[in-house]
Amino acid sequence: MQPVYPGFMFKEFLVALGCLLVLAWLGLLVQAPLDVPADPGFTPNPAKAPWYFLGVQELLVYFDTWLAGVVIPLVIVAALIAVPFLDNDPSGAGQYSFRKRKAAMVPFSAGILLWVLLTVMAAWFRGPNWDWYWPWESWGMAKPSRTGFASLSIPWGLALIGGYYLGGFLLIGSLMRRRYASWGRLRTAVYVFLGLSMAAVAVKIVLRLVFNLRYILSTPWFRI
Amino acid sequence: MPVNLPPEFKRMIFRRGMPRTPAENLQLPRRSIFWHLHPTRISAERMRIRFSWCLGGISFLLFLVTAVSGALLMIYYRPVVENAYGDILDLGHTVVLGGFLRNVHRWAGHGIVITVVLHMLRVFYTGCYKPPREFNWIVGVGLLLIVFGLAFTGYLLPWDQISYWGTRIGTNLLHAVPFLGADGPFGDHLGMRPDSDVAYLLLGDADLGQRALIRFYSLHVFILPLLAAILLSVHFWRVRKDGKLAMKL
Repeated sequence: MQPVYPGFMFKEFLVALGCLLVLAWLGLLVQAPLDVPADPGFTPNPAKAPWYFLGVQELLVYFDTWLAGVVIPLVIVAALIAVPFLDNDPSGAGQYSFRKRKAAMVPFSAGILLWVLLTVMAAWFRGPNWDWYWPWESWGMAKPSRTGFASLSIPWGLALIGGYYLGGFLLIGSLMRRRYASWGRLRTAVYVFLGLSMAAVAVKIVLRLVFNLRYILSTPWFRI
Repeated sequence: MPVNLPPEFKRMIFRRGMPRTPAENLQLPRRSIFWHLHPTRISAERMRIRFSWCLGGISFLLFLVTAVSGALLMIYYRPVVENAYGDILDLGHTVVLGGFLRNVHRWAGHGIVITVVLHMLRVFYTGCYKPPREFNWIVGVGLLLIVFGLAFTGYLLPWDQISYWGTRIGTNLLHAVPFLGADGPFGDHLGMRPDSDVAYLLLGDADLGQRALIRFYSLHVFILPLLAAILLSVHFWRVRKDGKLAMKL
């Protein structure tokens, strides 16, 4: 135990000073971008959102807007709020530890990785018409859009989604049977549901990119 | 340079003056409202930069920088469709240090998004959301959303092509909210139109225009910063109260 003043406060002061110097240097050297005035009649191609929302914009390729832009972000926020309730085991608190907390670390890290991947794809690999362009490819000549997408019929779609969640629950449930005893039904169910849903996003991305699958379930009212 | 204020003034302003003895060092955080953010003692473990990476503190520092630079930018910027773009141009060309001010505001804003996300990662990987800190983690999630809100609303203000169409992508999402958006599932059935759905609430119009600009502006310069300040106070206070920052966790 040490007094906060002067040692700790001096450290803070140095860090703050360093940050301000870096910021002033950035402000002098790097100009904030400014394009031509807004023109509601002319859409730039591609129109990219600010970088911190590119993950959502990339999801729009794989899911309809209501799912990619509204439901999935809301589920992510809900999952973040649920974190302390899903994992309240005090072991491993206050230190960097991976082995003691695998059940928390693995899904969280996977989610962050997925988010970073989506952002990178959108930032550096998407060109005109939001088509895939490698960094060395020119945007001068627009690629022909990908066609030949297929969708599953309603019974197949329902079976796939139902089977995925049912099988997932049974599989993960049997793997974490001992944890289930201490976690209880609700906590285990929410944990497995969130994990499976996150994996489902990755599965849909692969299905679309590799197997040209557009919709797993398409009803007249909404499509997934 | 020593300032020779009459002693009674000095006592009026600073109450006790700078600490001179180790005992007074220990008391400093309790003596001033600004130092009061800190505990009196801290474990050597906690003090290591490699534990916290100073990310929460840097986020707050950058928040202060955006508040100060933003207040100065408000003097020049008019949230009017006809003037907004021109005012930003003027900042770069005719206002003394105007370009610097705008650059610093922008890079600090981007910086906050980065440091806040990294701060969340650090807190997660050190398990610092576990009891008794659950509530502070949730306050942190709220602050994360406010940061995204501030970044999103500020993005529109220069009213150039990048900001206009970047914002359009975001507001299109609002039109697609299930039940409440004109383009969302079941929105049609519930009578949602572009001029009556949930996006209209934010835009004040069926499309991005003057009303949207003034709404984004008031959110960006007043409503969201106020919310952020309130949540930040709670956040810091809870770090002290349930953190037992001074103790080993």
